[in-house]
Amino acid sequence: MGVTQASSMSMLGAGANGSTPMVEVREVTKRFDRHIAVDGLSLQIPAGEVYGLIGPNGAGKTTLIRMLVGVEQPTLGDVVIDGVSLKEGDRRKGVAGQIGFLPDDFPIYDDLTVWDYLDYFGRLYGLHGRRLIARIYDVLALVKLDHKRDAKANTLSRGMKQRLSLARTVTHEPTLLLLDEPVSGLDPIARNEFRQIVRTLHEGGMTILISSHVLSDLAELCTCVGIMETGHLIASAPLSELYDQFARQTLHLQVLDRLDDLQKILADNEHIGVMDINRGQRRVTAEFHGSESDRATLVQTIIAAGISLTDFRCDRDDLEQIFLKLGSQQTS
Amino acid sequence: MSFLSTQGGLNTTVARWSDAIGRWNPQLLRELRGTLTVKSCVVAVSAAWVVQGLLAYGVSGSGSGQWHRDALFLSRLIWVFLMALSGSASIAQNWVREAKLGTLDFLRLSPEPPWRILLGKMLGVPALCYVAAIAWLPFHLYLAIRAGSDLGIWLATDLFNVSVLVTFLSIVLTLSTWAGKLNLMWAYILGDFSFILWPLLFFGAAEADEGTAIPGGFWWFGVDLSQSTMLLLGWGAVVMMTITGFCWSVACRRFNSPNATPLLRRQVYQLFAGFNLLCLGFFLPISDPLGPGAVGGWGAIATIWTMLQALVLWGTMPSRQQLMDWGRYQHFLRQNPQERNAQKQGVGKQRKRPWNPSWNPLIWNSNSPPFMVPLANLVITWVIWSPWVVMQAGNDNPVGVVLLLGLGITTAILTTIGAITVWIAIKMPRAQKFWLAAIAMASVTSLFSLGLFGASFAGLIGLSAIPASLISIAFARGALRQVGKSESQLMFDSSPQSP
Repeated sequence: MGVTQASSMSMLGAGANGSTPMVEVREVTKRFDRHIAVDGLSLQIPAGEVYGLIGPNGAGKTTLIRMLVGVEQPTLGDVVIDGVSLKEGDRRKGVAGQIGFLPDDFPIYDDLTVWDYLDYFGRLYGLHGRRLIARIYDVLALVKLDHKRDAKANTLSRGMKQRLSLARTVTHEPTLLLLDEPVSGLDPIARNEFRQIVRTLHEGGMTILISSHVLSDLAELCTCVGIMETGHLIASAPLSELYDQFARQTLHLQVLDRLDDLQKILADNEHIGVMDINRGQRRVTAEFHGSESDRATLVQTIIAAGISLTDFRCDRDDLEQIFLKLGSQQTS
Repeated sequence: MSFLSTQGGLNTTVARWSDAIGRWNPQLLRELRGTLTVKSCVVAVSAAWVVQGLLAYGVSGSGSGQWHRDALFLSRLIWVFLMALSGSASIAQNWVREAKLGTLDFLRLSPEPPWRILLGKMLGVPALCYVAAIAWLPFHLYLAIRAGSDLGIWLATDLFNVSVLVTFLSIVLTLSTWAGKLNLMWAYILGDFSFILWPLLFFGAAEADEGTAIPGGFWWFGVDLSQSTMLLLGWGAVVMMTITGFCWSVACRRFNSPNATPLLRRQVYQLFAGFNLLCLGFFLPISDPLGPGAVGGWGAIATIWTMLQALVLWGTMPSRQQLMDWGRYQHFLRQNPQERNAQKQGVGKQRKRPWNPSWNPLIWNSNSPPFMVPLANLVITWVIWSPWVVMQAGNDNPVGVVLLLGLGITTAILTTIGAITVWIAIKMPRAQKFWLAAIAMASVTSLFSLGLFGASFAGLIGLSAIPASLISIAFARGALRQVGKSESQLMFDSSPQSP
């Protein structure tokens, strides 16, 4: 697929109901001297989505996120958060309270306790008094660090520090959460805990953008996915749509007998591609290019023909394989 | 854990106080929490008492009245110096640590205004120094009473010292905002640059005891400030506060936009206007323009003026990327005359500009190449000194007028350097630092060499700087046009989604 397709797809999941998207990136280019980090990228993320941004190192994910936060200014184009353009410096402070940002290295003040750390950032965002105290208790419970509130930050493990950083980013109850490689360097248990927290935040109505290399995590969390390569957004769509369009499906069927009849039914089906038949094991492996309902229809047809199926499986490309496929297409 | 925590709720007095401080300035509370532990406070207070004890012991040999006067003088010097040293070190170190840690971005992204964050840092980071100073205060007051000092003068002198200290720490804080790209040692060196203010500390410290016996008086715009200690200290405090205000405007800009040029054009012109007004005060009304004091004063002013010009030229020089963006934007305006006209007429602005010539952005826009900055500073200087020039009209030997014209040659030289710098930034990005160092060295060497041939010859050769500056500007503008055109092509050709 080409860039044109990607740019049209980037609008698919956005603003479908006509409401203002939470994030709108308009033809943004970011240059660092001779290097173009982000190249004419457009993107819309509707409110309430969990948007996964994937791409290899140097694809421009971090630069894009830093522009969304306002740390970097685009060389060309504009970033609009909840209807407010970040070009207008004075208004940028206005949306600051709506954004929570977790950078990949999640720096923490070691000289403060967990409580004082959250108290400080809550106050920076205008929380005070009993409301602030109640909020700190809430986020500590959310990230399961209540038992560590007296501990100095430098005594925490990497996973705990990461959760503390996440607690910091949500203390002021932002509507948009930007997470840059949030699970890098974490063990599987910590990653799982992190996923749970992100799910809880999403259920609370937060719009979340996550960039990550760990594609299996994104597949579980995200509702939409964008694939970046060399500063371009080569695909952006709801996850289910991405699977439907780009995931290769392979059917594995095994029958008790009547292998030739099965072969005929499959050959007549318009969604079946190349087939591989193993007569000894009465097994057929076939490429499938249809939707879930097409697959259900196929099963019904086989059963209606009186063929005894002993096995029916469908393997589908995962996000990583889709990413590799699109990446290689873009490179070529 | 700091005793300022609100973790147990807001039930205790300390917790309520902490909450009140945090409501006013969250950054201050954060710094106090990091700094003020029971242990650190005990150490600071103990250290203050130990130094007081040593001071009392050291001057105990003097006579009773003199003992207290000497002790008061030393007390004042010691606390100001210790505060300046330890305060500047802690601020520089804190900033570098935050820059290395990467937490400054969090502060920038918060809705808090920059001045409040910087104020919190300046008040909170050296908090232990302030604790020690408070522990020092009773002893200091006791000495003043026993020495028979006028308490009004005593208070005014200490307030002046506080204003100098605030200026000192503000300079360190401003310089520290560059620390993200430097290392800790470099930050200390920059902090030490502020030592030029230290003579003022002596001045303030000596005031209460030595009186205001300045030979020949201290004249500023015809007023002898040395007539009254309070007047002199008040004047000094106002000057310090003006410098502080300028530092804060620069620091806030640096904090908000670390990738932008260090100085706004507006700030540069304010700096030059302030500096020239301050200097003019010492020369109006003038009785003897060729007196020994006046000639020395002229030399000092011309030297500082030239240094300031060089400093602001560096401070207003955009990065290579900003210059390329500027070139590209100018190319866009050349291709779209309607846009240019709309800009000239102030379309989209609340207030229409009555007069907006095409070179206006070169004077005011921070991303433009600083060709016009030295010239604008020269014009400001000439305008401010024009009343003085008028008064010198009948003088047979108008050395000051000649010097003011001479500043024009310095301006031309600096403009040439600025234009060459722009050209190098665009054309030779790889060897940029090498060529800039070579140009700086060549400029300094040639200036010294010219001095060897006498003033007339130097002046004659110096005049060649004016056409040189025009030629170098033409080259730099040519390079900007070229890069603007090629950058536009590169940007739009490589961006398939662009129109």
